[in-house]
Amino acid sequence: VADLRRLPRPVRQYLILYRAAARAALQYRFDFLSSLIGGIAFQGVQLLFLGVLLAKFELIAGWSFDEVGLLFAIRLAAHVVYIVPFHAVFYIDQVVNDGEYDRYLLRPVNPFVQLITRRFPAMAMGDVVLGVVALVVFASRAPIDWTPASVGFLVVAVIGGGLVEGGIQIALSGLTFVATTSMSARNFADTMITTFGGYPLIMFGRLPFSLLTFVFPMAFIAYLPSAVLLGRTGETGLPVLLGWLSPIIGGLIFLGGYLIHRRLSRHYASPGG
Amino acid sequence: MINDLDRSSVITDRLRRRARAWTAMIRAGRRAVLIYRGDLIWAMAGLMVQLALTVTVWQVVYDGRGEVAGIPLRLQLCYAALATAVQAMILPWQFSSLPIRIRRGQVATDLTRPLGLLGQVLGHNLGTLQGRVPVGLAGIAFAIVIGAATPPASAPAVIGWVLALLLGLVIAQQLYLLVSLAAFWTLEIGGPMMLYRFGSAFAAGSLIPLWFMPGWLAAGLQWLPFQAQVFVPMAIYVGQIGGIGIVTAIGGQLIWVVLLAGLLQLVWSRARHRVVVQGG
Repeated sequence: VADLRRLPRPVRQYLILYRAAARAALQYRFDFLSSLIGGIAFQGVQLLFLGVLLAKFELIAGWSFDEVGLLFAIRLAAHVVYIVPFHAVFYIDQVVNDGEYDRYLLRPVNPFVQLITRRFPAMAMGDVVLGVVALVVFASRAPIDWTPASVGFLVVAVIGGGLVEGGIQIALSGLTFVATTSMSARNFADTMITTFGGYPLIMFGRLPFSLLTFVFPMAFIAYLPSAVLLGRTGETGLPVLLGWLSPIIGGLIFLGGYLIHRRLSRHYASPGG
Repeated sequence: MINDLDRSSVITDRLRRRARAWTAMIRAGRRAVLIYRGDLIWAMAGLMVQLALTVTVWQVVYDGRGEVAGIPLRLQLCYAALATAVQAMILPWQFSSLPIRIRRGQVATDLTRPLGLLGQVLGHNLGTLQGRVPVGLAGIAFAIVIGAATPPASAPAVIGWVLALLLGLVIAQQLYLLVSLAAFWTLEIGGPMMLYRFGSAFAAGSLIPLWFMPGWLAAGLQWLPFQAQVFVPMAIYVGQIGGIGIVTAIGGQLIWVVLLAGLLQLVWSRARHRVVVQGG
């Protein structure tokens, strides 16, 4: 614990609380294992779907299985970057409506940190397994001559993608403070990203693609970075630079999401009266 | 004579109370969904976006071909759109209240209620389903508007579709209850629930119909109850299952309903002995 002291306060608090949650989760071995399998099922089904689809149809909008595979793997790995530290945002409705948030406000720790360390995401361990395997397998199969620079870009793109997904979910979770539930909004975002985040988004048409880039910015999670790596930025009609900048844009989206969440949390009204 | 009258009035009274309990549970389940209007609107809007994008995915992979593996594009679009709408209706994110009741120990009180626990949960689930009907209908209406949903293949297909859809809903409820009952052993069922939710969506043919799956996979899934939830009714609707096949398919669904009912009774009779009240 001594070496933790040098870290910024919220980070230190986060690590201590997260570790406690992890220890609690590991007490329930069976649940941990079954959650892990559940996590693999959640994302694995999408991979299975793409595999079956491409086995029959060979190409999606001109992208081969190996290319779609890389896109899918980046999305999956980005999802891991979001879900491992921030998964507990999922419980926001319960925390706010049961008055658990009252306790967060009384403790000398950032309430958001307490929310995201509420539970350890055993299910996310399934995502980690699948995400790492998919990234290694599909990155090596993709038609790319890997250089240190492109590998470096892949790594920061995955982190940036996770921040995009995190920013979206954290912003939406703030709606619970004003509307008592944000479940469907968050589910919508999750379904969109899980179901369609693995496609070359331009195939949905110019207008939907613009909406998915500038309004609901899921294009920055995986499509734009993989278009850069595969040399396919031409088809997007966007400046190449935008693709290269996607990790930085991810950071900005995350920051924006957190600020929205914090702003909305001021509307919290205790359910106890 | 008077005794007989008394007895029959006692029985009708009991039945009436039972019916009241059922209606109350269904109403509670329905209200729990409908009270969150904003949530419902999100769900509808979300489903419409999902439908539009799903339809585009199929158009893109067909890539101008009129038909692939004997399946015309129009038929596939209709299948994909309606299957997505039905899937959204029968498997909402938070369905059963059982796991949370078990975790909070509320199940101890629930067990003492006049309507059996399974009845309570089933009633509540049916209410939830009712509450989700507007979402499914909005999805179907949207599928018609964007031209993806086309009229059913034939008159027998309509009757077969309605019957198969209802039986599919029964099977989905039974399977859901079975998975929920696992909570009596494990308390936490997030994992099995996820496995069920996504595994069944795939195995039910909601994401991709069985006719586009590799032969071995489709053959394997034929032996599981999931395809009876979505694939069977939708394949009847678009006419891929027709004639005598409709009767066989519905017969198969009925067998699953009976088998799952038996399994449910068996698991339930064991589960009730496992009640441990948390904190007691």
